[in-house]
Amino acid sequence: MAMTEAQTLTIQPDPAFVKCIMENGGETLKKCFQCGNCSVVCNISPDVSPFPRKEMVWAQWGLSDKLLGNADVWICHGCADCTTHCPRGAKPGDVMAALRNISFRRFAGFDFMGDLLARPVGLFWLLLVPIVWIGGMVAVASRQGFMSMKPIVFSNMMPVPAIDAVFLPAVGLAVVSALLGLARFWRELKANSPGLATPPGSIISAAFAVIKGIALHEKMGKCQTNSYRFSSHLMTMYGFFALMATTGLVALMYWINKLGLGPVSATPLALSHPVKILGNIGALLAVTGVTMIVARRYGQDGEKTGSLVYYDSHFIFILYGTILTGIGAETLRLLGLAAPAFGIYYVHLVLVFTLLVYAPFSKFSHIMYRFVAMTYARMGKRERPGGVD
Amino acid sequence: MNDNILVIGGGVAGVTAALEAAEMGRKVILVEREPYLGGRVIRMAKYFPKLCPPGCGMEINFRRLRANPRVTVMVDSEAVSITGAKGEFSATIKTKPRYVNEKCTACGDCEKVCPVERSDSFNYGMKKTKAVYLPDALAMPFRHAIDMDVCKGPECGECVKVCKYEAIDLAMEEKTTSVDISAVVHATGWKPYDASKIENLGYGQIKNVISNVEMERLASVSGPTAGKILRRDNGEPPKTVAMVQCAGSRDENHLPYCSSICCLVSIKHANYVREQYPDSEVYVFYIDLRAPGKYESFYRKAIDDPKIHFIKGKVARIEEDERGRAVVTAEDIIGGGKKRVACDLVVLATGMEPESKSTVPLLAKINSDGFIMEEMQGDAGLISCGVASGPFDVTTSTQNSTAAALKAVQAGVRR
Repeated sequence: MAMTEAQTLTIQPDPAFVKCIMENGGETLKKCFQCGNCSVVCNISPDVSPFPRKEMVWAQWGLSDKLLGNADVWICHGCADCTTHCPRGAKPGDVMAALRNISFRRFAGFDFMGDLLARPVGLFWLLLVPIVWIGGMVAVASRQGFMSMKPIVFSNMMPVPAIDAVFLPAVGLAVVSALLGLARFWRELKANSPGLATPPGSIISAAFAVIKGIALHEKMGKCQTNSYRFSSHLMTMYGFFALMATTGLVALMYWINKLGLGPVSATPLALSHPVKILGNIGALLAVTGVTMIVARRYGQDGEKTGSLVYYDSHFIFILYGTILTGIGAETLRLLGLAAPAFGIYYVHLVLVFTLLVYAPFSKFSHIMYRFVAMTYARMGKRERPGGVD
Repeated sequence: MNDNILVIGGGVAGVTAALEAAEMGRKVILVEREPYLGGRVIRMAKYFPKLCPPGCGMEINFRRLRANPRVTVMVDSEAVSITGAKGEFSATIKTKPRYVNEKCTACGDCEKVCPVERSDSFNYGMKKTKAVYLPDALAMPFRHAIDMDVCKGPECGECVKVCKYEAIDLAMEEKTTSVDISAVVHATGWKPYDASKIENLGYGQIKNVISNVEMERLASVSGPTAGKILRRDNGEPPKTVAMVQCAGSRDENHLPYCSSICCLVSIKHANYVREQYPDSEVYVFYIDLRAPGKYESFYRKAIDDPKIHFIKGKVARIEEDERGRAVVTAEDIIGGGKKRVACDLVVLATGMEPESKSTVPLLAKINSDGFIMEEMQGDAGLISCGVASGPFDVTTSTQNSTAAALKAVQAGVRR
C-alpha cells in the first residue's frame, strides 16, 4: 500500500526530458517544493497515490517512463484548481498538460508528423496536402459548370465518391496510427502505472463506466477554477458527435440510393429532415461550446485556464474553423451565393481533413488517450476511497 | 539639537530597545497603540526560549521601566507624523482618551456595575469584558480603560459613581504631543495572518478550527478557559488535535515568506496538549520542519513522543463532520496516499504579518513583504527591530532590539 518513495530507489535523472516538459508548456515545474497541496485541492485526484504532486517530482527528475506510462496524466482534466492554489506558482496543471502534449508525439509514432504538429511552421505543410489533394479531386471530378447550376449542390463540385476517395484512405491511415499509438500507450500503462488492484476488473464494464462518466462530464463537473469548461466542453463534444453522426448518415443514405437498396432523401436535405435537424443542432452546440472556450482561453481570464501552448491553439482553431466554415457553407448555400458557398465549402473540406487525418498527432487524440487511460485506471480500481483516521 | 529617541511600539522589542537606550543615558519616548505594553508576547501562554510564561521575562522589563525615569511611556498613543532628518526629527504623537486616569488602582468595582460588554481583543475575541476593563492581569500600566465604542457615556455613568478614587473621567479628550528626537526606532511588530483568507481551511466557519495565537490564549491561565485547552464548540477536552503548518506562510497567494517560528510554536502547542491530556494524539502536518540551532533538541524531544505524529504534507482541505469535528486532509508524502484525520481541535499555524505592511511606517521604507528595510536607513536615524524588521523569535528580537538601541544612540552622537 505504501508508495515506493519510502523505499531505496536508484534514480537516473534525465535533464533532456525535463527540458522537453518545460518546452511543451511546463516551464514552471522547477518551482515545486513538494508540499502536496495540489493533490488535495484537486477534486478528482484519487486517495491512493494521488496526483499531481508525484508527477511534479518525477518531472523534476525527468522520469519519462513513469510519467508517460501513467494513467493519472489523463485522469487529470486540466481544471487548473491545483495551479490556482499552488503556493509556489509551480503550475502543476500546466505540467500535466505538457505531459499530455508530449504523449501525443511519443505514442503516435511517425516523428515527422509530431514535428509538423509541434510548431506553427508545420501548419503550412499540413494544410498543403489537403489543399492540393482536394483541389485536384475538384479539378478532376466536378461536374462541368457546377458553379452556375441551381440549386447549389456541393456534390456537383465534390461528388461523394471523390470525397470518399480522399477521406477513406487518409482517415484509414489516421486510424492505423491511432491504434498503433494506443497499443504503445497500453503497453506503457501496464509497465508503469502505479496503485492498481490485482486482479484487474473487467475491461468491458470499466469501459462502460468510463463512457457514462464522459457522457455526463462527471469529472469536469467537479472543476472549480474553470467551471465554464463543464458546459463549454459538453456542448463541443455533443455538437461534434452530432456532426460526425450526420456525416455518417449522409454517406449511408448516399450509398443506399446508389446501391439501389431503396429510395431515401438525397443531399441537400430539406431543413426539416431529421438528419439535417441533427446536423444543425450539432453545429449550434459545437459553435457555442468552442466560442466559449475561445473567449475564456484567449480572454482576460485566460491565465486561469493554464498557459496556452501551440498544441492547444492548433486544435482549438482547426476545430473552430471547421465548424465555422461548415455553418458558413450551409448559410451561403441557402442564400444562393454560389461562388462564396463553394469557396467556403472547399476550405471546410480542407479543415475537416486537417482535423481528422492529423488527429492522432494533435490534441484531438486526447479523446482516445483519455478514454483508454481512464478505462485502464477503472479496471485497476484506481479511484477506491481511503478512510478517515 | 538633542539626543532623545522615539521608540514606536511597546512590545518586547520596543520595550527592550527603549530600556537599553535609556540605560545608556538617553531620554526615550516609548509609544504604544494599545492600552498596555507587552504586545504579542504578553499574550502568549509560554514563550521561547525557556518556555516560561511571559510574566517572567516581561516582569523584569517592566521593573526596569518603572525604575528608569528616562523612559516616558505613552500608551493609547500613535506617532502620526515625523519630519526632519537624523539628529533633528520632530514627531507628533496622538494619545487617545483612556477615560481612566493614573489614580486607578484596578480594584475592579467599575467592572461590576458596568452594564455593557465588548469583545475582548486581548483574547482575540474568544471572551467578553465589560466596556470598562483591565486589559490583562499583568497589564502595564496596571489600570483600567474604557472602550468608548460600546460605552454608554455620561448618561450611564455607573462606573464614575462607584469609583472611590475619582479615576474615571468620561470627558477626557484626545491629546497631541510634539517631541524633538534624534532617532526613530520602529518596533511595530506583527499581527497574525488573517486565516479566514485561506478559504479551504475553514477558519471562521468551523468552530474547532482555531489559529495559533488563539491556542496561546486557550493555554494561558489568564485566557478565556483559564488555561484549559477545550473544544470550541462544546467545551469538551480534545482527544485528537492537528497542527496545520504554513497556514498562509510560504504561499505566493498569502505570505510568500517563511515566518520562521511557527514550526516550533506548533511543537510547543503539541506539548501543551500532551501535558494536559496524556491520552491525546497530536498530528503535525508540515511541508518542511524548521527547527534552527538549539531548537533542534526541542524538535527531537517531540519526535520521541509516540503520540505526536509528524506528517509530511500541506493541509489543503478542512471540512466539518456531523460530530462537529474538523476533518483535515493532506497528502501523506512519506506514508503514501491522502491522509484524513478527524480532529477535535485544529490549530492553524498562521504566520506573522508585519504591522508595517498595512500601517506604512513613518519615513521608513518597507520591502515587498512589508518588513521595514533596515539596511541603509540606520545611518539616516531610522532603525527597526523585532518583527518589524523580519520574522523572528523572541530571543532574536531582543538581541536585535539591543543592537537597535545602540544604533539609535549613535544617531544622536555621530553628527
